[in-house]
Amino acid sequence: MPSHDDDADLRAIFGALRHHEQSRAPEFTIEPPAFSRPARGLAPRIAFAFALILIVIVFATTHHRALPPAPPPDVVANWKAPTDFLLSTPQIELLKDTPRFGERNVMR
Amino acid sequence: MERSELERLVEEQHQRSFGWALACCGRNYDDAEEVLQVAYLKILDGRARFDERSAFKTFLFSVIRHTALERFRWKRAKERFALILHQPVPAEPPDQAAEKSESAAQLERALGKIANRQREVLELVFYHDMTIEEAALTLGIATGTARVHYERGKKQLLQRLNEENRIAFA
Repeated sequence: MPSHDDDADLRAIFGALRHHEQSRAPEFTIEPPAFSRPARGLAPRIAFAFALILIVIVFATTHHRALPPAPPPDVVANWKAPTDFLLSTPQIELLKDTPRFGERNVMR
Repeated sequence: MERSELERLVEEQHQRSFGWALACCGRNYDDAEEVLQVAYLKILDGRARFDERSAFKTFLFSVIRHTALERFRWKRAKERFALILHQPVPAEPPDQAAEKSESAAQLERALGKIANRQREVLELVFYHDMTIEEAALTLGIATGTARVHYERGKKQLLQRLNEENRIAFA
């Protein structure tokens, strides 16, 4: 069980430590130390990186939307199936056009 | 409260504050100086406001303690980040233990071996001559809790000091 003597001893030892440490206290000044502003160098870089990524995303999205649909290549546009001639039957134009009244006698 | 008045109060407590900052920073002199500066700025800029409900010393010590904890967290995060980037972490400067008297050095080693809260209460009571109630206010804990830490811490510290003495005389 700690006694009052112990308290006195502890006060004396703590007193020695206090004397040693407080005598080495720096002069009283007020200036911002380095660690209070760790973000100063880092924050602008992070902000810049985010802004750059955002610009790239926005540019890519809008640019992609603005492009007209690519025309099909000629080979595809002019391609005909080998059995295409089988569809060339009499009155084939009836299937290709929209008939208009009075222009042509269908039954002729 | 006026800035000039706050500045005067801070300056009045400067040496004691440095002692407490050392206790909060594992007795690292450089860290203690930086912590002290940030704590002072917090008070003078109004980021930490003194509401005059307690003694100024209690308030100041509480701000120093919080700042030291922030500093510790920031340092730990920096070390982890450095590990991720495989950058070497700069070594801590050697402490000033060699210059101390033997009893002060023994006390410092013994304090390093007891629980943080117990150490804080003992430092506030024996080093800074606070009452247990004032220590409780500084640490933001109940007086009863502080009393328990005080009793257990004292017992632990005496035991550690006895061990230190035995090593010294062996």
